[in-house]
Amino acid sequence: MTPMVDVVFLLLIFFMTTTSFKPPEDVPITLPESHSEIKVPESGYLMISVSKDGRIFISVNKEKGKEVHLEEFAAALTDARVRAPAAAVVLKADRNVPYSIMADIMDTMQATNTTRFNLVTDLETE
Amino acid sequence: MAGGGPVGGPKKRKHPEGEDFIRHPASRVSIYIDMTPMVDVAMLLLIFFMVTTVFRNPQAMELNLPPTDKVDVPESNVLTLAVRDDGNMYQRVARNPWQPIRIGEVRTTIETLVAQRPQIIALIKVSAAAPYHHVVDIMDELNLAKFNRLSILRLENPDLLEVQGIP
Repeated sequence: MTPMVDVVFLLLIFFMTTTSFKPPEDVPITLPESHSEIKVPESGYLMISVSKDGRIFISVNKEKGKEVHLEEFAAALTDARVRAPAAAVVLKADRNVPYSIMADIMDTMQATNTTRFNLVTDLETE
Repeated sequence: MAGGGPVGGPKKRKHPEGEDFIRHPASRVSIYIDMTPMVDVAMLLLIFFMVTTVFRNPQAMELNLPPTDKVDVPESNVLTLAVRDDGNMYQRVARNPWQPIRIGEVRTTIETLVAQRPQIIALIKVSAAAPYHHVVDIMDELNLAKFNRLSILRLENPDLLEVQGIP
């Protein structure tokens, strides 16, 4: 049995060291799919999550997200960017969000000079 | 000599210093440890980590919004892709009639158009109620065609009326 136990422990240690637990999600989000192969940065990002029903959350550096309304989104975004000036902005929206909400968000981002950001997607496999 | 005395007794007797003279041979007792519970726990942890491990990180798609200044483009060099509320897509170049297009055809369409008009730009007009993933899908197709002169807008009148009017 010893060789088997050796292998089991080896695998166990491998999985223990490689596992990184998902940061807690503010809302369940089904991502859209794309062929893009850029990785979301591991840390140091400002995540804007948009749930299926159009609720918006802003979280900085994997903290728990704060829900903001669309009216206060501009102020909250500016505030978050001041708190994390170097963070890359990541926009994570559910695939079925109506486009009008996304358009409002992107307009606000454009107005607050957040013109470079990443859209989070799942890798599409054909 | 009956009875006898302590002197000259059998060898079992204690040594005057109290040590036992009889030595047991150094027997190697094989200790048996039951490893089954340990293996059970290890297997359980192994299965837990295997199940919870996510090797696939989400991908990102880079998007640069243009600054707000306007650029004039001749209308003949504009491809408009319109996404209706129900997710159906239509395209037209300049002011030609709207043509229905499926997402799988976007890539070849843009490739042929770029070959004909190298300066073409794409306007993606999305109606308010259309799901967001259509935008990502179109952008993905355009990225695959190595095309990056695009702009995303709301689908508004008069285009909206025209496109919604198509049966």
